[in-house]
Amino acid sequence: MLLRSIAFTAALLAIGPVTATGLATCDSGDKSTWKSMDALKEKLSGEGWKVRHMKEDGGCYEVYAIDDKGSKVEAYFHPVTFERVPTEHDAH
Amino acid sequence: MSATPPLAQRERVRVYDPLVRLAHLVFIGGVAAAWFTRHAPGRWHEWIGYAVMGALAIRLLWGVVGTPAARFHRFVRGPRATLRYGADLVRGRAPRYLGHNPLGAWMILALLLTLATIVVTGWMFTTDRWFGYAWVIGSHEIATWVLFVLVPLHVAGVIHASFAHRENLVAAMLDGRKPAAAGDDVPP
Repeated sequence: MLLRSIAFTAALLAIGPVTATGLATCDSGDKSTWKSMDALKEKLSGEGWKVRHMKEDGGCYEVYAIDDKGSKVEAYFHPVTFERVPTEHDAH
Repeated sequence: MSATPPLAQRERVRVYDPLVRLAHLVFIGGVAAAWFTRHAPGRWHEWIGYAVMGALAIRLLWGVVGTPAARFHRFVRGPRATLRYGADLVRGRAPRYLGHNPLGAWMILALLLTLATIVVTGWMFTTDRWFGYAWVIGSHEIATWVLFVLVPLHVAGVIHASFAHRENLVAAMLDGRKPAAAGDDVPP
C-alpha cells in the first residue's frame, strides 16, 4: 500500500513537458576544434567581465557573469569563434 | 474503558486553521507553477518564488505563535517517540492523531526546510552578490530534487494514514475539520 502510493505520486510528478534547458545552441562541430574555456574566460576578463561560472550547453559555452557594465548576464558563446550567440532571454 | 464511537458518528472539530490550509495550498500551487516556469521567459518563476517565500515566512512564524495543530513544539516529537510510532505503524496499530503524527511532523519540518533552501538560493541568484555561482544554482536544483523525493513520501504517508484510520485526510487539510478525538486518539 505504502509503496504503491509512493510509486503513483512519483509517476504523477514525472509527467511534465520535456523542455530543453539550453537558451541557445551552437553548430560548433568536433570538440577538437574548440578553443578552451579558460581562453574565453581570459578574453572576457580582459573586457571587464567578472566570470562566475562556465559550462558547455548545446554546443556553446554558457557563461554566468557580471559584465563590464555591472549587469548580471547569462551569455552564450560559440566555442570556436568566441562570438556571442543571442539567446531567447536577450530579446526580453 | 468505554467504547469509542466510530468516526462517522463523532462531532467534527476544527483542527487546521485557515492560515495553515492556505499556506499549504500556496506551497502546492507555487511549487507546481515554479516547476513549469523554470525556463520560461520573463520573471514568472521569480514572482512565484516570492509568493512561496512570503507564505513560508508566515507559516514558520505561525509554527511558533499559531493554533495548536500549527505549532511545531506541539507536534514535533523526539527521535524515540517517533521511532516508537514508526514501529506501531508497521504493526498496524499506530494511534490516530488529530494533528500531525510524529512521522508526519518530521516530514513537515523537512518539507519546510527544503522549501526554504529553494526560495533562499533562488532569491540569491537574483542578487549581484550571489548571481551566477555554480554552488548557488546547484543547491537550488538539488533542494528541488530533494523536495520531489519528499513530496511523494508525504502524499504516501497521508494516503496510508487515511486508509489506516478510515478518514479522508486530504479533505481534512482542505476544510480543516476532523472527527473529534476519542479513546486512544491523540488530540493536537
